[in-house]
Amino acid sequence: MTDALAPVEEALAESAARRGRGGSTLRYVAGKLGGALASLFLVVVLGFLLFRVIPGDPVLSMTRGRPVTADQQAELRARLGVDRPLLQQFLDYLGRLARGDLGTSYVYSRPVGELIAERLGPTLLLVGTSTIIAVILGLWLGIKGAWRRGSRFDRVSTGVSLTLWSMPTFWLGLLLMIATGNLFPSGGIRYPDTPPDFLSQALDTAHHMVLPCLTFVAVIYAQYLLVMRSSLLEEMNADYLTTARAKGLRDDLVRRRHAVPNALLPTVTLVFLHLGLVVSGAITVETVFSWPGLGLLTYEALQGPDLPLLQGIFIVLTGSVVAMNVIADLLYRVLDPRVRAA
Amino acid sequence: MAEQTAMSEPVDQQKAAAPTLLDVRDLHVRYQSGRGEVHAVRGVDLSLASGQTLGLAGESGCGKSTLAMSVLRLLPKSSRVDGQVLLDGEDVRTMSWGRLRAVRWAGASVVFQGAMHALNPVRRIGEQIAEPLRLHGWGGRAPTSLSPAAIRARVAELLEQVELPARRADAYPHELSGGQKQRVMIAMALACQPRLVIADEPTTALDVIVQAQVLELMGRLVAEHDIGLIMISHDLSVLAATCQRIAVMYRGELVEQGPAEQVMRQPRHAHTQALAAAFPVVGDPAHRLVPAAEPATAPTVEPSESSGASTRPVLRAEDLHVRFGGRRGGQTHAVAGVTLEVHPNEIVALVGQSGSGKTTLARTLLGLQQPTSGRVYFDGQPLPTSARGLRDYRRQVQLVLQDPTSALNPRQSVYEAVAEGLRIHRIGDDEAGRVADALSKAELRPPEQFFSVLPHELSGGQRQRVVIAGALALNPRVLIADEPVASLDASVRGEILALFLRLRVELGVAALVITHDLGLAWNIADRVAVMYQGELVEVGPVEDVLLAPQHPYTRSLLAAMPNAPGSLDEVELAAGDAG
Repeated sequence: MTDALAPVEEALAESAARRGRGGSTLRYVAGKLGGALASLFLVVVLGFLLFRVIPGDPVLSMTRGRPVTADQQAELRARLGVDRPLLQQFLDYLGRLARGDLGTSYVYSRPVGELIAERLGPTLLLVGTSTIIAVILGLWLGIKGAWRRGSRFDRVSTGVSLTLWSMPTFWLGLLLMIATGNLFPSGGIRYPDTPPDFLSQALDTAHHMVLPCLTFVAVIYAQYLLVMRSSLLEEMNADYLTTARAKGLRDDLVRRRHAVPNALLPTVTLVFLHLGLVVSGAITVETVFSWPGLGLLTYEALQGPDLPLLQGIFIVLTGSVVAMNVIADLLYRVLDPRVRAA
Repeated sequence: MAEQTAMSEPVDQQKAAAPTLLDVRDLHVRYQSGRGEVHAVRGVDLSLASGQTLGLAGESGCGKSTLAMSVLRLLPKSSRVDGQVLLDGEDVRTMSWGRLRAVRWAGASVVFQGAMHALNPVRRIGEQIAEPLRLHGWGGRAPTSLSPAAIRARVAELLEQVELPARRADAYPHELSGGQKQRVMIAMALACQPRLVIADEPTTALDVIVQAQVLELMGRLVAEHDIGLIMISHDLSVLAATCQRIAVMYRGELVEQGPAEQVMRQPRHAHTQALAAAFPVVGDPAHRLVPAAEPATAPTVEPSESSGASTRPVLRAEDLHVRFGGRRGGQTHAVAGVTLEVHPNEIVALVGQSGSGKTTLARTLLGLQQPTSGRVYFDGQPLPTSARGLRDYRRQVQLVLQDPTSALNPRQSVYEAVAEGLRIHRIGDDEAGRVADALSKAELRPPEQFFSVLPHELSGGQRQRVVIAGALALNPRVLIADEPVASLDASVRGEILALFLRLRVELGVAALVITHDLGLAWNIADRVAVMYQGELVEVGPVEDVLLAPQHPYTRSLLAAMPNAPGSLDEVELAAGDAG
């Protein structure tokens, strides 16, 4: 934790001493949030530095192919603020960030915040749906595979998931497009001529989502399967499972009540770690299916390079990783009584 | 061996009165493993009348747990069971799954080694006790007729029986001590009023005093409820304290069976004799400074003459205090003013319960833990504080840990393990010679044969010898050993203790042996220091302290030993007092 937070922590610790157990939870949460804030600050600093060292002159690429004079270029530089000293740029950036202003996109000439907010919805819809399906599928297959380790089901399901995992996303996406023919739309989020009522809009969106969602699930479910499978395998020889069997529990109850709750503990952390990263993993899928989300926006921003836009996306994506980590930590505490006590 | 197997004692007077509860006939269990078939149980016959108690003794791997688990068909799928296991006249082997599930826990239940992982760590103990109640009901009450309140009341009643407050039902396993977890296991086993309870090493990993309490509790409950009990242990004295009869297993066969007293006092089979001798009777001169090893390997030892203040101590702690700050301002005084000396050519046993601070004291002596106040002197010099100075110091004072399996890196060969210390201390000359020398000092001969061996290819005793060789490679003057034989089999225990004695006699290596086992002190130590709540309550020559204990804590430790001098009744009384 940073030193700046120390007084806060001390105050929290004091109140914890007064209130006993409930206070220790508060202290834990405060500690985790403090850590997250510190990482966020690092993200902000990194976000600034990173996009100052990548090669390419944004003014040159913006004016490419247009008849502009050197004076006009200099004027543009001054307007964008890229002619000032690095430190000054950094301070300006921090100041704007504090006001919630992520800057203005070079390419779109619109506020970055607005652009991201606009694209966040489709990404969350696609990534959220796919992740939920992938997690459920992965955990279910992982549990089944581990419980009957070495069975044909286990071998086939693990093999298939690994094969899909190792396929290039864009290739799998194209393959699916060709295989399904004209059954599903191959790009965009809605047809322009769909009636504006909610039901037809939703159905049309769902129709458009089938292929990208399928591609995404196929590629990522293996990681959930493998994590769940290996952590359940680790629990398989645990003594408390023998106790549960000796009690006369049915096999599926032994699994559901005793083995899975314990095996889920390490899995939950990993699922949430992945969740943070998944948004960025959508870049390829969104590009292949022209899904108007953050991934496609990133792709477009990279072509600029549209520095303020990249910076904004970078901060939002890494921020979501940090946030997911905090959620994982807090959830772990709810799930595992041993962490609660520590 | 065959005639001894058939030698079931005629204790059948009681058996005739009570119907046979468990009848095991010509039981064979084979495991299919990667390295071929393992014949774990070879033709065992065993019977138990209801309300009777039977102890099953033997070393790890002798098949005793396999035998017990076959009663409820809890063996892994890779096993093949032949013969008959009749529970109340019904063969467990041929039961349908449904019938088997109904018999499990309601007809026969198991007390696992609860101190370890037999309880589910993420569920409250109340729920875990209630689980079989909801499944089987109890005392003729069908599970469907049970209200949640009735189950709660039954859980509270069960916890009360094992002397735990009813509100502990809301606790998670990690919030309980080892002894309390074992009590929960017992409460759980009694939940559905079974007619047979199988207790698998119920007190291993527990302290002597807690062990005495748990044994007393279990003996009492089993007698009160007229339950048949099969208790499994590697420790004959534990079985003798609780069971009417004892059966001894060796390599999958039953080699001896008879009344507890007789098996304990006049063992017939050679293996039983070894088991009985492994845990010495404190006060028996035959075991003083003679660990139970093969006669040829046990050195003849006179008590060290230096065990007084005549020589300069090689290691000395002076008024040592170690405090740990608690999270909410509370402090633990782990070591509270300890003054202790270890002289050259002397073995000192540091005895105490877990939590008494003995391991913290050892860590402080090694310089691994900073004392809050007080000093440690080595050879008259205060312990250095610089990293370099400490490194030189640790060459002289080496540590031997309890569990050789986790102390050795599974991917390192024996040679690497022993040479590691030499490399850390940059002793480059003649590394192979030094390693060979250390191995032969630890009695791994010829040493060259062990160089390339990996730990999993060695037996438990050999692994501990490798750990000791690693310490000896640096020619230390003192060994600090933390429970060096606690995780070893009974027959190996004697050999390792004999090794410590011989190192003292032949090389003059002093040792501080930390243990909860007074028998070990009687076996090899010159002096004994008894630690209680961070303080040394009694220090002196072994004979003085163990035969004429002054402090009440030493007396209760001695009384809690399952084979304490005197009759078994006395032990139970003393254990009852301690609880």
